[in-house]
Amino acid sequence: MYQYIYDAFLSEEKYLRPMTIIENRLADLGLQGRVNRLNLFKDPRELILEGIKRGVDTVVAVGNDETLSRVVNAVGDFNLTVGMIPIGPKNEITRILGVEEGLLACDCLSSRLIRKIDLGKINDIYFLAHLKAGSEVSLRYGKDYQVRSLTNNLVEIYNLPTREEQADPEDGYLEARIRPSERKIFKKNSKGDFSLDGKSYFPVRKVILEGNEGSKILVDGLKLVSTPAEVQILPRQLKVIVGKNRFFK
Amino acid sequence: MILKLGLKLKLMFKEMYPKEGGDVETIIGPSVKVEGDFTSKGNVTVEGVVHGSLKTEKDLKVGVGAKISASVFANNAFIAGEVKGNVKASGRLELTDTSKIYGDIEAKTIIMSAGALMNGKCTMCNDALPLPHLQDNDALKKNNKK
Repeated sequence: MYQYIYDAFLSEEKYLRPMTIIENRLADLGLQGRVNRLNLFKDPRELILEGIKRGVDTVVAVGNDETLSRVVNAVGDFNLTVGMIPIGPKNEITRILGVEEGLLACDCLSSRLIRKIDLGKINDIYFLAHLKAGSEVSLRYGKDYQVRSLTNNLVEIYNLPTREEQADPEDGYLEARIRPSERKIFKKNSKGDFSLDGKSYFPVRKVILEGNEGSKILVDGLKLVSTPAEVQILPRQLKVIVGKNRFFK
Repeated sequence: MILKLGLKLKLMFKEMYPKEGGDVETIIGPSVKVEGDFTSKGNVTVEGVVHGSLKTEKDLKVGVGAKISASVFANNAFIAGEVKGNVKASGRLELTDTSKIYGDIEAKTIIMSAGALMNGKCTMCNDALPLPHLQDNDALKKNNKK
């Protein structure tokens, strides 16, 4: 059984017609289910718990990346499959997962191409795509060693790949990249110079991000978390319905 | 002819970036400093600064600009930068003309280019050197003290 979690912004008038078309398409495909609408005071976790009691096995986030993030954070511990119907702007994560906007997303749901992907966790927040921070943030691998930036760098940790960065969400590792904030146009390339554009790559299973007072980490481009923060990978934790055009194999 | 050239290029690329096959590769870039006992089960490339100890079960490449103040253990090591500490490779150790080693080196096979600087004891043995186990941090610390 399906449960559809609609974001609050879908009650705007401009989304009424597209939503009617999508609902009709879902009915044609036999994918009707329980519909819940989010608002500021509704906790998606409570809605999903109620859905589980009524036999829900697939939760579909209808909205944008923020809707998906809220649903993933609510689903995290339960053995449920997550689907998406992206509508409106800010749908980068669904694009990476290969889910197209509008009616095509309904067909994607119907085809039920399910993959078990890794899920990132920072403190008690789950994240799907990436973390981003400034050069003041260092990576501490337990008591063993610490990685610091020597110059003005960007510190990024990826679970999902992007157009620029490769990452495998099924390998059981997060991929930390530390790269100069300014890209060099001309680069010396002598023998023994191996680094790619001055980037550093570190595989991550568990790491602590430390920084100065007030240092923040941007989670999935949506939320800010203060340092220090513990980051870990939960291998193959999330069952997600993906599309054929996803950015990974 | 074209096929042969293509195959050669593919092999060269594989040698530089052997990502396929599940190996997790670490690259310590030029703008990064690692402090502590760094251990890895995959290939490691160093272009930046490392203080402490550095150990990998696979291959190590140390770039021209790299500065390592640590004892180094690897399967095979290719060094073009500066290392202040002992270097042990269980297989092949290659020192380029830009390399500077201030410490002892030990390997099964050693290749040293003209111009390479090496101040220390050089030991070669027929059998592959046993690498200390990844969890065996005491062995690494003992080596650091030396």
